[in-house]
Order: sequence, then structure tokens, then C-alpha cells
Amino acid sequence: MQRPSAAPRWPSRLQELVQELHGTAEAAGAPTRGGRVSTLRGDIWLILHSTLTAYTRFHARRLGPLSDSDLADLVSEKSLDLLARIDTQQWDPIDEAEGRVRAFVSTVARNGVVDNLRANSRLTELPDTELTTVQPLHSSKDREHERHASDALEASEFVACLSTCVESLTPRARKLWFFRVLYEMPSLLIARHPDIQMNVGSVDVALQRCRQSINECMQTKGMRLRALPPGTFAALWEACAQQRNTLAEEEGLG
Amino acid sequence: MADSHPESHSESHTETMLDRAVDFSLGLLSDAEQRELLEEARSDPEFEAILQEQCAARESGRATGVPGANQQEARSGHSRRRFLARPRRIAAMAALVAASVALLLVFRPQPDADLYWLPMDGALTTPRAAESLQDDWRAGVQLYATHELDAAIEVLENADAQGATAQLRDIYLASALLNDGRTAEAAEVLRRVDLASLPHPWRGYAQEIQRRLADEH
Repeated sequence: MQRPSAAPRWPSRLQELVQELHGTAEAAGAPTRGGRVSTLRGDIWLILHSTLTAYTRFHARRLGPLSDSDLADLVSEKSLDLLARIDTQQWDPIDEAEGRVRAFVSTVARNGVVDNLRANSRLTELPDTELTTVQPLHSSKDREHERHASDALEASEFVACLSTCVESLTPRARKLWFFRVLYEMPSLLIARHPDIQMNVGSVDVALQRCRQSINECMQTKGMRLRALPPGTFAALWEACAQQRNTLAEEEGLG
Repeated sequence: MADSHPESHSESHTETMLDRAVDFSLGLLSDAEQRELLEEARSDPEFEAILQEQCAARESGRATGVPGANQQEARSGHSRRRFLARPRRIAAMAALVAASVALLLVFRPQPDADLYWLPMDGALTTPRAAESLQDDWRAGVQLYATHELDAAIEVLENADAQGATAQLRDIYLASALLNDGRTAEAAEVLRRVDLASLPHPWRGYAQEIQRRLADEH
């Protein structure tokens, strides 16, 4: 990173939302207030879920392996726990320094990982020298690509072609494809996503059409679909994810 | 993290990567900052992987929403209890329920007890975390398993498969077509299947479809 001193934004965003939640909850009673409370809780939960996912993965890489399902359960449990503590004001991040908010969430994640590994007798704390490196999910694939300069060039061409082909899909189809292929989301979760809202069968059919369309498009460019090389996510994110609709914009908070 | 070795430059670097990825995934960065971050990700596969994981976590979180939120709202549904406390409204609701039940009895879908559904092999229907880009036939079998015939047929018809996998796909496709009443197409698909080379239990399944097709004619 080129700007290691940049302060993270999520702690202050969390504080803003919690402050509004407490203010709204105090004045609750009118139906719109109740709806607003629900929206705010949803946004707070999303921040907690995202940060706990990041920190839980970080600590799990240091302390010992967690399966994907253990990690998902742990993050879900801790997110709900913190949300409940905010609801009851047992934890009130509003008056905390942003650094302390961040440290607290990290500690919750670390303790969760330790408890889980202890319960499964898999706690294997690594020496301090190894604490600092986050291993990417697909590190072996990444290293393989890095080893060969010709592969890198080929990967770059592949990503450029794929990008063109993906952009030929409709925006919704692009998003579906992106959720499945880049985020590895199951059909059920994609179907429930607020930007998609389809039944599971339709998701599968639409995905099949996307794959067929991209496959044909890649063939016309003399390319065959294969494992996605590094750089694919960064190249396609803007075209597919369209996440400029920030939390604030989505919920009319901005 | 702040709870251990805050002086470590490398750890601070990793923390910053995580926090920036969280901010990115939550949409808390400006367009210019997003572009800058994506540029960094293009040249740093490790950071790109973290960014990708965080964005995936965010979208999964959006899809699930707050677990139990609906139940919680239901528990605090004072207005619903007030509604139910009024006798006239209860009577109206009872009449509505009765009318709905009557309509359901008249227009209920015909049972598909006569249809033959191939037994599901667990290995075929278990969703996999990293689905292959060309694994459509598995999606088709999953749709068949939930009796979504139109969707299953469309996916299976277009699914690319080779060798034994193609035979398996065709057996499911033939069964789906038969259950959808498209017997001629089912027979045509089944003709592609080499029954003699099929192992147990697939040969039996295919023969059962064949027998049912013969009964239709």
C-alpha cells in the first residue's frame, strides 16, 4: 500500500450509524421509525460482518486453520453478538477513539478464533516472524503465474478478452456471473441478493446462459476459458460489481 | 492488529491492507480512491485476493441480511396483536382463510405421483464451492432434483459434457422431458444413450425411462 497512514473509514461510519440508531430507537413508536431502526441495524450488521470477516481470516492465518464453514459460523455469531451489545448499549462505540473501535473488533475476532481452535484442539500459534504475511486464497496459483513472464503476458491478454466478453452481457447478467465466478456465491445466496431477487432455478438458467455467451465470445477471440489469473478481479470489478452505490447512497443517508 | 505487535511495520502494512479492503467493500471510498486501490490490486495479487474476499463477504452479507431480523420484527409486532384482538377482524380473517382453502382445493395442482423421478446421487447434487466454469450439467441435475422441469431441461440441453458425463446428462434430460410430457424428445435423447455400456444403477434408471416411454405410445 502506498498510503499506510490513511485512517480506515469504517470505524467512523460505524459510530455514525450507531449514534443514529440510538437516537432513532429512543424516539421509536411511529412505523417509519421502526423501519429506519431495521435499516440501521442492517447497515451496522453489514459493517460488523465485513470487518469481522477480515480480522477473523487474519487471525486464523496466524493461529491455525479454520474451515470455510467454521469461519462463516464464527463471523455470523460474533457479528450478531456485537449487534446485540450495541442494541443493549453494553458496547457503545460512539465515544470510543476510532483506533479502539478497530482494536476491539479485532480482539473479538481473535478470541473467537482461539476459542474455536481450542475447542477443536487445533491451536498452533506461529512464531512472530510469520505473523505479518497474509496468505491469499489462491497463493499457489498466484505464484505459479508470477514465475513465468510469458504466463503473465498470456494472463493479461486473457483478462482483457474476458473483460470485453463480460461487458457484452447485460448489467444484471454481469452481476450474476461476477457473484458466482469471482465471489463463489451459491445460487441460493445469489437468488436472495437484493440486487438480483430471482428464484434459484432462474439464477441457474441465467448463469448457464452467461457462461455459454462468454464461452462463445472467448472462442471468437481464440481463447479458452480456464482458471482465472490474478488481475481478473481488479480488471472486472468496475464493470461487474458496480458498487459505487455506497451504503450511504443506498440507504439515503448521504 | 492493535492487540499484538503494533510496532511491526509489516503487520501495520497488513492491517492497512485489511482496513482499506473493508472500506472498499463497504463503498466508503471515493471513486478516485477506488480506482487507486484497484490499480494497486492489479500489481499485487495478495492484496487483490484480500479485496476479492472482502467484496465477496460484503455481498454475501447483503444477501443474508441480519440473521433472525424477521423473527425479531415478528416478536415485536404489537400492531399485529392489536389487529387480532378485534373480533370483527378475526371473523373477516377466518372467512378469508376459508375462501382460500376452498380455492386451493378446487385449483390444487395435479399430483405427480405417476411421474418417475430418478433417484439422486448425493455426489451429483452437492453444490461445490468453486464451480467449474463449464459445469452446467451439475446445475441442471440440481434443478431436476427440485423438479424445476423447464429450467432443468434448458440447462441440461445446453450443458457441455463429454463421455460418461454426457450419458449421465442425457439420462436426466430424457427423464425431465418425459415428465414434462415431451415424449418424442425424451425418446430422441434416450437413443443417444448406450444402455449396454451403462453401469449399475444407471442402466436400470435408463431402462425404466425407456419402459415408460413405450407405455406412452
